[in-house]
Amino acid sequence: MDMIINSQQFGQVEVPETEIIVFPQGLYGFEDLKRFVLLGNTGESNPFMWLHAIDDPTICFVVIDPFVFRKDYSPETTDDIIELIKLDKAEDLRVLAIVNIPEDVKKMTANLKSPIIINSAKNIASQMVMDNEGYSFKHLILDEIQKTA
Amino acid sequence: MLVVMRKSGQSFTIGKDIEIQILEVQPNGVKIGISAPKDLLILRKELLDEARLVNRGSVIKSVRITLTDLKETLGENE
Repeated sequence: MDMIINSQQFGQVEVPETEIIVFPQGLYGFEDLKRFVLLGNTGESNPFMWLHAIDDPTICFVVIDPFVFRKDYSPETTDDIIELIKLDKAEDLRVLAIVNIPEDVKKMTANLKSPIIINSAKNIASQMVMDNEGYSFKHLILDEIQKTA
Repeated sequence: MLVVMRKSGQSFTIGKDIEIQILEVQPNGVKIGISAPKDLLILRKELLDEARLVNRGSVIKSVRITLTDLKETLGENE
């Protein structure tokens, strides 16, 4: 069965129930929103995607595959998170970072300190916070790309 | 809020599974040891507050942004 979201951003969007990703603890600041969907442009290979709330038509984020600009990125998953998303195979793990897009798009940042980790086989996900100095909440994506180039 | 007076080395418990021990008291801070079940997330409050703030600030408000534009912005700098 399909879910209909009346998205403020995209208008009416049909989401197959099998594509709904469950966040048992919600996202930080949005603890009540437990269901999201990843939306992308069909047929286009793009490291960016939308992460849209199912139960609030106004809540939509841009997310990015962080390895595109930080090949060395290594989020430290803890046992409780692995248990929460019911991950049993490492290859099912998918990591995404929420992107902050200011007025000047070139200054967009990615949150590598609290990535979203998804069990892509079971569509269960969680946002974690890493308590270390290595990553920050706002990495300038274009700067990171230039560093690796 | 419950206020408890403790000295270095003393501890208190919350429920059956959580123990908080004062390890060291210094003029600029207190070192605390926490024993709790692994499935409990323990975070410095300011970190949690910032994670919430950053998420709230990242909600897309402009309908003009497209994924294709974002990808092109990346490409221009490669």
